[in-house]
Amino acid sequence: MPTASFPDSCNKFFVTTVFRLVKTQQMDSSVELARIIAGCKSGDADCFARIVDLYAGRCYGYFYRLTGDRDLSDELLSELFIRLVQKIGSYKGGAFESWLFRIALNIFHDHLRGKQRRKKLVDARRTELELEPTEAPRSDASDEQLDKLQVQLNRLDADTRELIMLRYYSQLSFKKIAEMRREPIGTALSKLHRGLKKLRELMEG
Amino acid sequence: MEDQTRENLNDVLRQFLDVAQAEAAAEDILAGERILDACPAPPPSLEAIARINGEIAATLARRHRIALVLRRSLAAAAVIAFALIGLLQRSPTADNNIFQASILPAAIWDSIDVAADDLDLARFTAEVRQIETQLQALEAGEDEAAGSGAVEELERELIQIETEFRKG
Repeated sequence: MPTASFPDSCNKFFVTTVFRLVKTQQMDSSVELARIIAGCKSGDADCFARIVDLYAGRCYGYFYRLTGDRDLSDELLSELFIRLVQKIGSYKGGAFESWLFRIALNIFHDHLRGKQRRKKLVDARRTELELEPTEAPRSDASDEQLDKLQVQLNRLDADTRELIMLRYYSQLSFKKIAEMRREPIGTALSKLHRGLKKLRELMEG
Repeated sequence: MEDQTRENLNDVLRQFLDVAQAEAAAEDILAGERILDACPAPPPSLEAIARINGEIAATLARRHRIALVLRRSLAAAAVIAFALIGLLQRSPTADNNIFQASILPAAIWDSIDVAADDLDLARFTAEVRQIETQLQALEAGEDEAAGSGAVEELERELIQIETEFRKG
Protein backbone atom coordinates (compact mmCIF):
# COMPACT_ATOMS: atom_id res chain seq x y z
CA MET A 1 0.00 0.00 0.00
CA PRO A 2 1.53 3.31 -1.06
CA THR A 3 2.09 5.83 1.70
CA ALA A 4 2.15 9.58 1.32
CA SER A 5 5.57 10.94 2.12
CA PHE A 6 7.23 14.34 1.93
CA PRO A 7 10.60 14.77 0.36
CA ASP A 8 13.52 14.82 2.82
CA SER A 9 14.14 18.53 2.19
CA CYS A 10 10.53 19.33 3.25
CA ASN A 11 10.90 17.28 6.43
CA LYS A 12 14.18 18.98 7.27
CA PHE A 13 12.63 22.40 6.66
CA PHE A 14 9.64 21.53 8.87
CA VAL A 15 11.80 20.20 11.72
CA THR A 16 14.19 23.16 11.55
CA THR A 17 11.32 25.67 11.54
CA VAL A 18 9.61 24.04 14.50
CA PHE A 19 12.91 23.84 16.38
CA ARG A 20 13.58 27.54 15.70
CA LEU A 21 10.08 28.50 16.78
CA VAL A 22 10.41 26.56 20.04
CA LYS A 23 13.86 28.01 20.65
CA THR A 24 12.65 31.56 19.98
CA GLN A 25 9.72 31.06 22.32
CA GLN A 26 12.03 29.74 25.05
CA MET A 27 14.41 32.67 24.56
CA ASP A 28 11.53 35.15 24.70
CA SER A 29 10.25 33.62 27.91
CA SER A 30 13.72 33.55 29.49
CA VAL A 31 14.30 37.20 28.53
CA GLU A 32 10.91 38.08 29.98
CA LEU A 33 11.69 36.13 33.16
CA ALA A 34 15.05 37.92 33.50
CA ARG A 35 13.24 41.25 33.15
CA ILE A 36 10.70 40.26 35.81
CA ILE A 37 13.45 39.10 38.20
CA ALA A 38 15.33 42.38 37.70
CA GLY A 39 12.09 44.18 38.60
CA CYS A 40 11.74 42.02 41.72
CA LYS A 41 15.29 42.88 42.76
CA SER A 42 14.44 46.56 42.56
CA GLY A 43 11.41 45.96 44.80
CA ASP A 44 8.65 46.19 42.19
CA ALA A 45 5.46 44.62 43.63
CA ASP A 46 4.00 44.06 40.13
CA CYS A 47 6.99 41.93 39.16
CA PHE A 48 6.54 39.82 42.30
CA ALA A 49 2.87 39.44 41.37
CA ARG A 50 3.99 38.15 37.95
CA ILE A 51 6.28 35.60 39.62
CA VAL A 52 3.33 34.50 41.77
CA ASP A 53 1.19 34.12 38.63
CA LEU A 54 3.88 32.09 36.91
CA TYR A 55 4.83 29.73 39.72
CA ALA A 56 2.04 29.61 42.30
CA GLY A 57 0.25 26.71 40.55
CA ARG A 58 3.30 24.49 40.33
CA CYS A 59 4.55 25.27 43.82
CA TYR A 60 1.09 24.81 45.30
CA GLY A 61 0.77 21.45 43.53
CA TYR A 62 4.16 20.45 44.93
CA PHE A 63 3.15 21.33 48.50
CA TYR A 64 -0.32 19.86 48.13
CA ARG A 65 0.94 16.51 46.84
CA LEU A 66 3.45 16.33 49.71
CA THR A 67 1.03 17.29 52.48
CA GLY A 68 -2.42 16.45 51.11
CA ASP A 69 -3.72 19.48 52.99
CA ARG A 70 -5.03 22.58 51.19
CA ASP A 71 -4.80 25.00 54.12
CA LEU A 72 -1.29 23.89 54.97
CA SER A 73 -0.30 24.16 51.30
CA ASP A 74 -1.66 27.72 51.29
CA GLU A 75 0.51 28.52 54.31
CA LEU A 76 3.61 26.94 52.81
CA LEU A 77 3.03 28.73 49.51
CA SER A 78 2.69 32.04 51.32
CA GLU A 79 5.90 31.32 53.26
CA LEU A 80 7.66 30.49 49.99
CA PHE A 81 6.84 33.81 48.34
CA ILE A 82 7.67 35.84 51.44
CA ARG A 83 11.03 34.09 51.56
CA LEU A 84 11.42 34.81 47.86
CA VAL A 85 10.98 38.53 48.56
CA GLN A 86 13.58 38.34 51.32
CA LYS A 87 16.10 36.33 49.31
CA ILE A 88 15.70 37.63 45.76
CA GLY A 89 18.86 39.71 46.21
CA SER A 90 20.87 36.50 46.62
CA TYR A 91 19.67 35.05 43.30
CA LYS A 92 22.73 35.28 41.04
CA GLY A 93 21.31 33.91 37.81
CA GLY A 94 21.09 30.32 36.57
CA ALA A 95 17.92 28.25 36.51
CA PHE A 96 15.31 30.22 38.45
CA GLU A 97 13.18 27.08 38.94
CA SER A 98 16.11 25.35 40.57
CA TRP A 99 16.60 28.28 42.97
CA LEU A 100 12.87 28.58 43.71
CA PHE A 101 12.31 24.87 44.30
CA ARG A 102 15.36 24.68 46.53
CA ILE A 103 13.63 27.25 48.77
CA ALA A 104 10.38 25.26 48.51
CA LEU A 105 12.23 22.08 49.51
CA ASN A 106 13.79 23.84 52.51
CA ILE A 107 10.41 25.21 53.56
CA PHE A 108 8.89 21.75 53.40
CA HIS A 109 11.77 20.32 55.45
CA ASP A 110 11.37 23.14 58.01
CA HIS A 111 7.68 22.23 58.21
CA LEU A 112 8.54 18.56 58.78
CA ARG A 113 11.03 19.44 61.51
CA GLY A 114 8.45 21.69 63.20
CA LYS A 115 5.88 18.91 62.98
CA GLN A 116 8.35 16.46 64.51
CA ARG A 117 9.02 18.86 67.40
CA ARG A 118 5.30 19.36 68.01
CA LYS A 119 4.76 15.61 67.96
CA LYS A 120 7.51 15.12 70.55
CA LEU A 121 5.96 17.79 72.75
CA VAL A 122 2.51 16.22 72.48
CA ASP A 123 3.95 12.75 73.20
CA ALA A 124 5.82 14.06 76.23
CA ARG A 125 2.69 15.77 77.52
CA ARG A 126 0.66 12.63 76.98
CA THR A 127 3.20 10.53 78.93
CA GLU A 128 3.13 13.13 81.68
CA LEU A 129 -0.62 12.88 82.01
CA GLU A 130 -0.54 9.10 81.56
CA LEU A 131 -3.33 9.32 79.06
CA GLU A 132 -3.96 6.78 76.37
CA PRO A 133 -4.80 8.15 72.97
CA THR A 134 -8.57 7.99 72.58
CA GLU A 135 -8.52 8.03 68.81
CA ALA A 136 -6.23 7.09 65.98
CA PRO A 137 -3.78 9.85 65.02
CA ARG A 138 -5.19 11.99 62.26
CA SER A 139 -3.10 12.53 59.19
CA ASP A 140 -2.55 16.00 57.76
CA ALA A 141 -4.97 15.12 55.03
CA SER A 142 -7.78 13.88 57.23
CA ASP A 143 -9.95 16.91 56.50
CA GLU A 144 -9.42 16.69 52.80
CA GLN A 145 -11.43 14.88 50.25
CA LEU A 146 -8.48 12.93 48.98
CA ASP A 147 -8.27 11.86 45.41
CA LYS A 148 -7.08 8.38 44.59
CA LEU A 149 -3.61 9.60 43.58
CA GLN A 150 -3.13 11.35 46.92
CA VAL A 151 -4.06 8.16 48.77
CA GLN A 152 -1.60 6.08 46.76
CA LEU A 153 1.13 8.72 47.03
CA ASN A 154 0.82 8.52 50.81
CA ARG A 155 1.65 4.82 50.57
CA LEU A 156 5.08 5.60 49.11
CA ASP A 157 7.92 6.41 51.47
CA ALA A 158 8.34 10.11 52.20
CA ASP A 159 11.70 10.49 50.45
CA THR A 160 10.51 8.88 47.21
CA ARG A 161 7.29 10.91 47.27
CA GLU A 162 9.34 14.09 47.71
CA LEU A 163 11.65 13.14 44.83
CA ILE A 164 8.75 12.35 42.46
CA MET A 165 7.04 15.62 43.25
CA LEU A 166 10.22 17.64 42.96
CA ARG A 167 10.92 16.16 39.54
CA TYR A 168 7.33 16.54 38.33
CA TYR A 169 6.63 20.09 39.51
CA SER A 170 10.05 21.68 39.17
CA GLN A 171 10.63 20.17 35.70
CA LEU A 172 14.32 20.19 36.46
CA SER A 173 16.89 17.83 35.00
CA PHE A 174 18.07 14.82 37.00
CA LYS A 175 21.46 16.48 37.32
CA LYS A 176 19.93 19.53 39.01
CA ILE A 177 17.66 17.43 41.19
CA ALA A 178 20.56 15.23 42.30
CA GLU A 179 22.58 18.35 43.15
CA MET A 180 19.67 19.79 45.09
CA ARG A 181 19.21 16.60 47.09
CA ARG A 182 22.97 16.11 47.49
CA GLU A 183 22.91 12.57 46.15
CA PRO A 184 24.42 10.89 43.07
CA ILE A 185 22.40 11.20 39.88
CA GLY A 186 22.19 7.38 39.59
CA THR A 187 20.61 7.16 43.05
CA ALA A 188 18.01 9.80 42.20
CA LEU A 189 17.21 8.09 38.90
CA SER A 190 16.87 4.67 40.48
CA LYS A 191 14.66 5.95 43.34
CA LEU A 192 12.42 7.83 40.92
CA HIS A 193 12.12 4.85 38.60
CA ARG A 194 11.19 2.47 41.43
CA GLY A 195 8.81 5.01 42.97
CA LEU A 196 6.91 5.75 39.78
CA LYS A 197 6.71 2.07 38.90
CA LYS A 198 5.26 1.32 42.33
CA LEU A 199 2.83 4.25 42.05
CA ARG A 200 1.62 2.91 38.71
CA GLU A 201 1.07 -0.55 40.21
CA LEU A 202 -0.82 0.95 43.14
CA MET A 203 -3.01 3.04 40.86
CA GLU A 204 -3.77 0.11 38.58
CA GLY A 205 -4.19 -2.39 41.38
CA MET B 1 3.12 18.46 32.35
CA GLU B 2 4.98 20.41 29.68
CA ASP B 3 8.61 19.42 29.45
CA GLN B 4 10.80 22.48 28.92
CA THR B 5 14.08 22.08 30.73
CA ARG B 6 14.50 18.35 31.08
CA GLU B 7 17.21 16.42 29.38
CA ASN B 8 16.57 13.47 27.12
CA LEU B 9 15.53 10.77 29.59
CA ASN B 10 16.90 7.91 27.49
CA ASP B 11 20.33 9.53 27.27
CA VAL B 12 20.54 9.89 31.04
CA LEU B 13 19.32 6.35 31.68
CA ARG B 14 21.83 4.92 29.21
CA GLN B 15 24.64 6.26 31.38
CA PHE B 16 23.64 3.68 33.98
CA LEU B 17 21.71 0.96 32.13
CA ASP B 18 22.01 -0.96 28.87
CA VAL B 19 19.81 0.01 25.94
CA ALA B 20 16.94 -2.39 26.68
CA GLN B 21 16.88 -1.61 30.40
CA ALA B 22 17.06 2.12 29.70
CA GLU B 23 14.08 1.93 27.35
CA ALA B 24 12.05 -0.06 29.89
CA ALA B 25 12.95 2.35 32.69
CA ALA B 26 12.09 5.37 30.53
CA GLU B 27 8.72 3.80 29.74
CA ASP B 28 8.04 3.19 33.46
CA ILE B 29 8.93 6.78 34.30
CA LEU B 30 6.84 8.25 31.51
CA ALA B 31 3.88 6.01 32.41
CA GLY B 32 4.13 7.16 36.03
CA GLU B 33 4.24 10.78 34.95
CA ARG B 34 1.21 10.27 32.71
CA ILE B 35 -0.68 9.19 35.83
CA LEU B 36 0.40 12.42 37.54
CA ASP B 37 -0.73 14.36 34.45
CA ALA B 38 -4.12 12.65 34.59
CA CYS B 39 -4.66 13.63 38.24
CA PRO B 40 -3.66 17.27 38.52
CA ALA B 41 -3.39 18.83 41.96
CA PRO B 42 -6.00 21.49 42.72
CA PRO B 43 -4.85 25.05 41.96
CA PRO B 44 -4.39 27.56 44.78
CA SER B 45 -7.54 29.54 45.51
CA LEU B 46 -7.84 33.10 44.23
CA GLU B 47 -8.17 34.26 47.84
CA ALA B 48 -4.87 32.61 48.70
CA ILE B 49 -3.16 34.30 45.75
CA ALA B 50 -4.64 37.67 46.69
CA ARG B 51 -3.49 37.21 50.30
CA ILE B 52 0.03 36.30 49.15
CA ASN B 53 0.21 39.37 46.92
CA GLY B 54 -0.99 41.49 49.85
CA GLU B 55 1.67 40.01 52.14
CA ILE B 56 4.34 40.65 49.51
CA ALA B 57 3.22 44.27 49.17
CA ALA B 58 3.26 44.70 52.97
CA THR B 59 6.75 43.14 53.21
CA LEU B 60 8.04 45.41 50.45
CA ALA B 61 6.50 48.47 52.12
CA ARG B 62 8.11 47.52 55.45
CA ARG B 63 11.50 47.06 53.79
CA HIS B 64 11.09 50.40 52.03
CA ARG B 65 10.32 52.12 55.35
CA ILE B 66 13.32 50.52 57.05
CA ALA B 67 15.59 51.57 54.17
CA LEU B 68 14.22 55.11 54.38
CA VAL B 69 14.80 55.32 58.14
CA LEU B 70 18.34 53.97 57.69
CA ARG B 71 19.11 56.50 54.97
CA ARG B 72 17.78 59.35 57.10
CA SER B 73 19.71 58.14 60.16
CA LEU B 74 22.90 57.92 58.13
CA ALA B 75 22.35 61.42 56.73
CA ALA B 76 21.72 62.79 60.26
CA ALA B 77 24.84 61.01 61.59
CA ALA B 78 26.90 62.48 58.76
CA VAL B 79 25.62 66.00 59.52
CA ILE B 80 26.44 65.60 63.24
CA ALA B 81 29.91 64.25 62.41
CA PHE B 82 30.64 67.19 60.09
CA ALA B 83 29.36 69.64 62.71
CA LEU B 84 31.63 68.12 65.38
CA ILE B 85 34.63 68.23 63.07
CA GLY B 86 33.87 71.87 62.31
CA LEU B 87 33.61 72.77 66.01
CA LEU B 88 36.88 71.04 66.83
CA GLN B 89 38.66 72.87 64.02
CA ARG B 90 37.35 76.24 65.19
CA SER B 91 38.72 75.81 68.79
CA PRO B 92 41.71 73.53 68.34
CA THR B 93 43.47 74.15 71.74
CA ALA B 94 40.59 74.13 74.18
CA ASP B 95 40.62 70.43 75.00
CA ASN B 96 44.42 70.08 74.87
CA ASN B 97 44.90 72.89 77.44
CA ILE B 98 42.57 71.27 79.92
CA PHE B 99 44.31 67.92 79.62
CA GLN B 100 47.85 69.24 79.86
CA ALA B 101 47.12 71.63 82.72
CA SER B 102 46.38 68.68 84.91
CA ILE B 103 49.98 67.43 84.41
CA LEU B 104 52.08 70.61 84.39
CA PRO B 105 51.61 73.91 86.22
CA ALA B 106 50.12 76.44 83.83
CA ALA B 107 52.85 78.97 84.65
CA ILE B 108 55.60 76.62 83.51
CA TRP B 109 53.65 75.56 80.46
CA ASP B 110 52.95 79.12 79.38
CA SER B 111 56.45 80.44 80.13
CA ILE B 112 59.12 80.49 77.44
CA ASP B 113 62.00 80.73 79.94
CA VAL B 114 61.79 77.45 81.85
CA ALA B 115 65.00 77.92 83.87
CA ALA B 116 63.87 81.23 85.29
CA ASP B 117 60.55 79.81 86.45
CA ASP B 118 61.70 76.81 88.42
CA LEU B 119 65.09 76.28 89.97
CA ASP B 120 64.75 72.49 90.27
CA LEU B 121 63.63 72.24 86.71
CA ALA B 122 66.59 74.38 85.65
CA ARG B 123 69.04 72.10 87.54
CA PHE B 124 67.40 69.05 86.05
CA THR B 125 67.66 70.54 82.56
CA ALA B 126 71.35 71.35 83.08
CA GLU B 127 72.14 67.84 84.29
CA VAL B 128 70.27 66.26 81.38
CA ARG B 129 72.29 68.41 79.01
CA GLN B 130 75.50 67.37 80.75
CA ILE B 131 74.60 63.70 80.49
CA GLU B 132 73.65 64.21 76.89
CA THR B 133 77.11 65.66 76.22
CA GLN B 134 78.78 62.73 78.00
CA LEU B 135 76.74 60.25 76.01
CA GLN B 136 77.70 61.94 72.77
CA ALA B 137 81.35 61.75 73.86
CA LEU B 138 80.99 58.04 74.60
CA GLU B 139 79.34 57.42 71.24
CA ALA B 140 82.14 59.28 69.49
CA GLY B 141 84.73 57.15 71.39
CA GLU B 142 86.26 60.23 73.12
CA ASP B 143 85.93 58.71 76.58
CA GLU B 144 87.02 55.10 75.95
CA ALA B 145 89.23 55.04 79.02
CA ALA B 146 86.17 55.19 81.20
CA GLY B 147 84.89 51.96 79.58
CA SER B 148 81.59 50.39 80.55
CA GLY B 149 81.88 51.81 84.06
CA ALA B 150 81.21 55.28 82.67
CA VAL B 151 77.97 54.16 81.08
CA GLU B 152 76.83 52.54 84.31
CA GLU B 153 77.71 55.70 86.22
CA LEU B 154 75.70 57.75 83.78
CA GLU B 155 72.72 55.43 84.16
CA ARG B 156 72.93 55.70 87.96
CA GLU B 157 73.03 59.48 87.67
CA LEU B 158 70.02 59.48 85.41
CA ILE B 159 68.04 57.32 87.84
CA GLN B 160 69.03 59.51 90.77
CA ILE B 161 68.05 62.70 88.96
CA GLU B 162 64.76 61.24 87.93
CA THR B 163 64.04 60.11 91.52
CA GLU B 164 64.90 63.52 92.94
CA PHE B 165 62.79 65.25 90.35
CA ARG B 166 59.77 63.04 91.11
CA LYS B 167 60.19 63.69 94.82
CA GLY B 168 60.25 67.44 94.02
